[in-house]
Amino acid sequence: MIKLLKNKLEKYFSIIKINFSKVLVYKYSFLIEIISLLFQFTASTYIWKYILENSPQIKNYSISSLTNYLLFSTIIKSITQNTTSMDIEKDIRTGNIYNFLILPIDYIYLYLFRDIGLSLGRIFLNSWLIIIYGVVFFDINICFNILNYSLFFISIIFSIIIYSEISILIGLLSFWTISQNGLRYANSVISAFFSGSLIPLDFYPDILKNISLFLPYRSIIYLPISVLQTNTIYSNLFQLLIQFLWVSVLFFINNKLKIKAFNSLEIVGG
Amino acid sequence: MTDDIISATNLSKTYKVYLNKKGIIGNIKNIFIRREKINIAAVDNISFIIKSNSVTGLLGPNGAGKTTIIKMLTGILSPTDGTIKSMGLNPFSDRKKYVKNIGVCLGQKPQLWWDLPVIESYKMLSKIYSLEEDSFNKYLNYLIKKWNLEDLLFKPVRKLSLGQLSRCNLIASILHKPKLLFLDEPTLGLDIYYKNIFLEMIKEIKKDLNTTIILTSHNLYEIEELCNNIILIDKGKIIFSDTLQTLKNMYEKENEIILILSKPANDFDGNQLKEKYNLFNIEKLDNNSKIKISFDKKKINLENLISDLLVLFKNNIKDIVFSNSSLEKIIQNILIKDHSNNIDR
Repeated sequence: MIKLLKNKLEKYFSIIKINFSKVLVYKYSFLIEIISLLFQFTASTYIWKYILENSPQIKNYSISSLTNYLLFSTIIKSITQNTTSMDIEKDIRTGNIYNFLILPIDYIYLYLFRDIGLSLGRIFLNSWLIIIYGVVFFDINICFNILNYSLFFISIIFSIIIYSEISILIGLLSFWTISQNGLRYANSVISAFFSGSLIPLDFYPDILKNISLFLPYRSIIYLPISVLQTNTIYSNLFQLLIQFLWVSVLFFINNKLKIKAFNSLEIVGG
Repeated sequence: MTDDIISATNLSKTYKVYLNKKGIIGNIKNIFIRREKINIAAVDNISFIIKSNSVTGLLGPNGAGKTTIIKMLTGILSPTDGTIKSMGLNPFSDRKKYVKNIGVCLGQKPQLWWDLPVIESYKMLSKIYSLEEDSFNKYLNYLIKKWNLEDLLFKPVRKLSLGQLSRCNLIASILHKPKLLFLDEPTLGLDIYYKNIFLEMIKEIKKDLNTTIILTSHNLYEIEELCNNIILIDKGKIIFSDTLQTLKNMYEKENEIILILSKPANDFDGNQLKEKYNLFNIEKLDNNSKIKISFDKKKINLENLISDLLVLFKNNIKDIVFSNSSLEKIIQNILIKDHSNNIDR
């Protein structure tokens, strides 16, 4: 039993390891990736500076806490992004999925752990560059609280998993839709809106805030930043619990979808 | 004694295809009106067995259903009807357990990760198959030395030539010493040099691992070199399933003699000879400097025919070439016969 578990863990750890090193091999490509995010961060920070010029606070956010929020939102965005839905669509379209299905490995886990590996690589490569940029150019104050940062790290791991699971879900839908450009576009827009990546969800009217409670996107950016910015341990643990619930729900949906998809799999020819 | 490793009973696979209406108006209609659906039987109620330690060739024209059968046997597709038992398991429902014991090498889609060095792909596969590190390293080193792969190991897969890639891909499919190895057009696109190396590799693997091999290929030379059993498929149905030798004995009816002449035989008329021996055909080739005679050797007295030819072309024969019908011709004849039977029906 223990050996079986060890083998399983080794299997998935090797996927994480190989993808982590991929980030380091293609470092320039990943570094270029964050430049666009830094531009986005800079632009939105200046917009907020202009808006808050005459009022010290908006919805409990001062300009410094808002800049802080936007900086961490940029970091999480840079870490969690993935190409999984596109890759799954390509696997199905080209029939390359065959190569994965003949391996004694779960197709969903393969992409999930690949995303975890790539995201951990990005944490290692990108995140400190974004923090240095924020500290140097925007005078961001990083107060170091070991407990908050530890919980924040766990919360980010959940974010990575949730975003990866959403991408897998969209990817799996191409078993039926074949092309999922529309779905992917809708996902990126809804995700940007409800994850809190553009502005904190506190700024939204109540109705939108309530809708966000029923969507997994909130757990990707807004909740991890709340964990970092809140000092109440119980509230932080509760946020982690919500993330864990979304991980489980999406995992359940994906597994059901996978079984249905594989039963209807039709790879004709080649 | 050999046991059955795979037995398939009344196997069928039907694909649903939606018919789209043509043109802009048709495309608009497609949005609002439910499209017509037709079922296409890729595999149509077939049964067969594969014996342990055999090499079975799965043959048939494009679209015959070979790849669909392979995909059902590898547990990727679920049959619409019928059952498959392979090594005591149902490939589709016991997929996770089943795929640990099979190896698959697809000529068109290499399973190596294109952006990783070959060795990293191998290591990753060893983890995925949960192989013991020591025995894996030992076996990998043996394979590397045997097939001179040292120089390729640290190259990223995307930088390998097709010949190198196919060899590395074959090795990837046997790292876990599978009991059953599927080779789906493994030499596609290879030149004759690499093709021969590849065939040599497959023979050695068979010897080393005592594995059962199922091979699909359009190259009949490969089939003749490797396979002892043949399953011939056309339009989703099996039209022949037995040993290669039986196939040859049953269908090898056309033999040929080609006479190469020193001087062109412009006046030669073969009709008399054709009638006397009931030959299939006599053809004059290359400006009458070659005579091709085709016949069924079981139905004629070959000795008499040759002596008649020697008398007819006295002092004019430069060379005589004998040939039996190629496997290609045999299969072509079976397929043509099958098609005309279908039309008759």
